[in-house]
Amino acid sequence: MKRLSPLLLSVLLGASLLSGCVTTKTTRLDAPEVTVADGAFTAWAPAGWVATTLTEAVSSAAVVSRDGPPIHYILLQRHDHQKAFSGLERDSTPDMLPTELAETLLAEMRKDDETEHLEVVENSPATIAGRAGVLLHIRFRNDKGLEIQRRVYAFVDSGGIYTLSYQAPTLHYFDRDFEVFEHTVRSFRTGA
Amino acid sequence: MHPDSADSMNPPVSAAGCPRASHPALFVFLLLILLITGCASVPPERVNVNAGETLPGRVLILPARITSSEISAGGVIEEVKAWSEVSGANVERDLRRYAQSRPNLEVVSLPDLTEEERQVLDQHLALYDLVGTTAYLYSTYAGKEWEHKRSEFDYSLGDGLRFLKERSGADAALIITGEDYISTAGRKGLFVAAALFGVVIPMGHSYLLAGMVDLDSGEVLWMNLEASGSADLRNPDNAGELVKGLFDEFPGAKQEQ
Amino acid sequence: MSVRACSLSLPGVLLLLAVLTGCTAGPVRPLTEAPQRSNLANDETRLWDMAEEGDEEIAKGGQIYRSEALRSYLQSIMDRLYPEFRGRLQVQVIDSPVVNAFALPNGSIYVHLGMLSQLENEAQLATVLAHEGAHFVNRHSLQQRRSTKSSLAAANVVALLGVPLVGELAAVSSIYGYSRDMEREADRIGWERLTAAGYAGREAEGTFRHLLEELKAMEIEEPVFFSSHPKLQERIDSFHELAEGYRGNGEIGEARYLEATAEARLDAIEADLGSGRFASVILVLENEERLAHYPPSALFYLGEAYRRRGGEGDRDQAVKAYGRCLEYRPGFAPPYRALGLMQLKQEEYALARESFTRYLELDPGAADRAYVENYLKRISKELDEP
Repeated sequence: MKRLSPLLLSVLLGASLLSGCVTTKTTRLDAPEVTVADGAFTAWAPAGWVATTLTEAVSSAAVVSRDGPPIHYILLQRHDHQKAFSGLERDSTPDMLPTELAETLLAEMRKDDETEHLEVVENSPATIAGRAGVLLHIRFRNDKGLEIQRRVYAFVDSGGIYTLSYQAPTLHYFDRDFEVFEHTVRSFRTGA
Repeated sequence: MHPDSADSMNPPVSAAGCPRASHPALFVFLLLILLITGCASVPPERVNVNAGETLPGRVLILPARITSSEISAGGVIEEVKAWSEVSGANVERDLRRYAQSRPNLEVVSLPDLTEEERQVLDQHLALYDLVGTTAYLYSTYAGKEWEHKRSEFDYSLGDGLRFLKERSGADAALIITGEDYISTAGRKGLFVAAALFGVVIPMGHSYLLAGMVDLDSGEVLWMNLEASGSADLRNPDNAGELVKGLFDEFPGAKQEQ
Repeated sequence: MSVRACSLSLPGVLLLLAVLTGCTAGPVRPLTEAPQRSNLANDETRLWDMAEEGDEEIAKGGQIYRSEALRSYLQSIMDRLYPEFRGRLQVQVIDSPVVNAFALPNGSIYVHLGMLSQLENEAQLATVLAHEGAHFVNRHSLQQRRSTKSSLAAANVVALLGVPLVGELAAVSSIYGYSRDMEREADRIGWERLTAAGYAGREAEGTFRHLLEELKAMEIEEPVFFSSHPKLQERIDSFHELAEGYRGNGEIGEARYLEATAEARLDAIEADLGSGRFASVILVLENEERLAHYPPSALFYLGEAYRRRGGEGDRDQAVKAYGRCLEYRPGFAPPYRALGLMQLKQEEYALARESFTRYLELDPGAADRAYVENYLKRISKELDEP
């Protein structure tokens, strides 16, 4: 699925640059919960962080960050199965085995310039919102050589493909909010 | 330069063969918006919410990283390394001069580093580039939902630079980055010609972004931005003016006056 | 930006263009030896600066394929093609399954790993290196830069003056790639270098034939910016003509190439799989002649390409490939896991259990053991619970 790059996120913030077919909303969370307009999912997120939610016909997403998404973010996404893997031009399916889901997500990430040369730190089965899914943890460097880590939980069901990602530089930031992300994952519920 | 701008056996998936230099980063683009729309009514300096009344007294000035680029008549932007070196030297010289003239500030030089220490420093500078520009952008431009980052400015690089404190004796490091866009004679000529037709063509501009980082905690204690639509940092006087502008709002500056 | 019509005469327009675009210095001559940096013109120095930044970015981003033996092998070919540029033309391999190679203006040459799995012998690799070397020696980046800057400046002036924008279109199209003339020149000079170094000239045609097959397999339409490059078929035809007039024999270097690139080619196949480039894997490994240049475990990769592509008929092809792999290497674990996955998806639970169990017997320390154990639990629920 098309990942919301931090650059895009930055442009979205505070600016009405989108067409009418995408609904966005940015709020500073006063309660520790983030939801999306179409009710696709809800999750815990720290009060005081800033959440931007986006909803369109085929997908919904929430980006949550304390210091700004270019530095670190938690990204929760649901996408219809059709064209879920836009880089690979492939659909996901409700009966994808976790192994297949992991293989395809990694291939999709390798298609992205940012993560083309990723290193896999962990690839294991996981349970998210009661569904059998996967956990992928990768490492890569940006063009200035800064090491960045990304941790992704993912699963499929009849509602589509869900991914819960956390990305931050290894230095100082990744460990700082690791438990916040894990709490978000444990609390994640689909709307269905 | 991305491989896409090189000669390729198979044409790569974007502009090939064009000697593309560094394009303005998102930061500069938004900075221009700031300048043009007058959002610069937001005060440019940031002070860490955890900083004390005054900032650290012993400061390590890291080499200024300035990119000086030429904009041609056709709008092609190319960094000129030789110019970047001159601009960087001008800014650093004025920084030291300024710092040395301040009663509360002692300037310390970067010691010789081992290869491993150099790599750690480089990683932290890469982190600063990301954190510094985001910190500045989000506390300035990102809308009311991010306004709290101005009064609750608490960005950090972590404690990985403690070794520099031990090696140099400094309490904090001063990091200066900047960009300088200089129009060629051709572009200047085009500007004049265009003006005759009532058309404005964007010309050159410069900015300096300063950040002070506590070497013990890694907290970004203070940041400030100074920009100009006409300065040329290769010119020592211009560099000096921008440096002075940066430090006019340095904490403690008013108390000293 | 509003534009008003202008009443300057044509000579006036041309004069304005000349002044504003800083009409360029004389023609760019090919290099005859490795240049000294201090002798470069300003604009070429800037290109070299940018190229060095590019080298740094590639190195910092962890993009280089780590094999000194492979790098040395490619470098030795480049030095044979361009002996007078030894030390300046430096070759590196990029760890990417894409089929590409490129030259930076400072003589840094990069060959993607994916290119190596598509080529068959040293003469074909030398064709690629000779072509990229020719871009450097003929200073095509500099030529392109000078003409682009002038074109863009001209386009700006043209737009400003409200003159019909045919000129601007031409300027814009030249940004997106080297001119056809430059690519043809690199092909021609590359071929001369190839044959002068003692390689079999007729292999050049094979190189481009493989590239075209790869594009077709990956269903990549020759993209619009290809329009500034002679299309691949044209290049195949022109090499065919050059080879017809060629009477020499020349080295092909198949055995040496296959040995030097054995590990890299397998890594390239694995990288293709990892990036979803299934058609590329199938193109190489379905060819029995080329398959013979890989170890039997490559049949597992062929099976994986079919399984993961999952198109019509692919399941059967995958099973066939795994079966062949196990004939050669009955103790090789991965095909059992792959078979298990396919059987599980088809709800052939008993077969899946057998396959997964065998997999874990053969590879108890498998990295994906946790996945397989979960599948076995699931199968148990289906088969064993009332």
